[in-house]
Amino acid sequence: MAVIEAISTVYMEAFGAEASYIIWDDIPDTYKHLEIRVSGQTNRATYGNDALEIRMGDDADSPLDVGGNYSYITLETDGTTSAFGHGGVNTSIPRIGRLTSNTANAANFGMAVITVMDYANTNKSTTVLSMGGNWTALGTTANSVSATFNSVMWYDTAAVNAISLFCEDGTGWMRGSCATLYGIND
Amino acid sequence: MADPSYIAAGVLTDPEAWVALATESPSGANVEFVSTDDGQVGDWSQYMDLVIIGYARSGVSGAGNTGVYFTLNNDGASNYAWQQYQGDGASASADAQASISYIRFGVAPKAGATANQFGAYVIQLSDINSGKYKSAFCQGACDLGGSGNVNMFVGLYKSQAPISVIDLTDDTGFVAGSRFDLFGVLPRMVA
Repeated sequence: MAVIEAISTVYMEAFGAEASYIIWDDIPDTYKHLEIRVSGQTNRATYGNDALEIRMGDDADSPLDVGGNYSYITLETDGTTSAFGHGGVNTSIPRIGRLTSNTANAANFGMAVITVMDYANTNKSTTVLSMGGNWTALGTTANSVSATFNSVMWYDTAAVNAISLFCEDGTGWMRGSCATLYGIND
Repeated sequence: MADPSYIAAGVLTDPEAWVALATESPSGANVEFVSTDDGQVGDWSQYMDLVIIGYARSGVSGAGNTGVYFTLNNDGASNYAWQQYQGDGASASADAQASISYIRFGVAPKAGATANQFGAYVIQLSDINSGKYKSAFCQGACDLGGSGNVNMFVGLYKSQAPISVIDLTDDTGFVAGSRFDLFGVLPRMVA
């Protein structure tokens, strides 16, 4: 039976204001997989939602790889009846989900459940899987609502020991956002 | 009152993060999970998230499949919204509901579907004790052997109250063989 341990929880209200990013450093390599559960809102001033981005790092980074060493693929909805795909290659801002922005009701937060597979293996480029989405008081208008299914690959084969989450269009997380890093073992 | 298992000799420990809370195996009935509100393991006020893993078959008559839904805190008013992204084996589509009285989490085989076919579901409820509106993400799979749907939903309950009741329904009641397991997900409890 799998054992799931909470490694660290970050609460944005602990900082008393907006924070620009969430980061976990010195992640132990003693787990099989990692899971991150996020409830978040960013300070983007336009549209109802914002893209959630992820970066990773190893011992040689300080602490993250901020280069164009990632690719990503998403399947998304946008609040209407349309569904679409999106992706990027050799990018430094790989999308791993969507969260609510600060343009509508302050109580609306998006969510994401992110799984980092076999993160300590040194023979694989690390692959990350995520599902989640958001709804805002803007309702069924474009760029306000999403249900997303995401994949990110970090080209590096080193063991992941640092992970950061940040928003693409806003400059920070709003108070009340929180994220917990879990380790999964046999 | 006895201490919960994660308090040892008065000291808070950091237990396994996923805690099995309850199992329901309905037979001709809908399902309701309720927080015990007693400071023990079944008290939802200590958990960050809730997760429900289930499989179900509907009692609704006819062939094909039918929608399955949940409501929170016994609130049957139009205080919910959701977006769906689904595929039926041939095409993908999306739809949204901005003001509705439930959150849909998938579809289930109707009573007239081929015997022994069930739908499967994972429902994630985020930050259930916060002052936020409550967000949900649901995955559903209902393969009927040549037809059916795979779905993902994001849902919103427009209430800032903590979640203490979850009702799962298909309108008429899930048939025997259906099962739903509720888990609580703890945050990091010890610095």
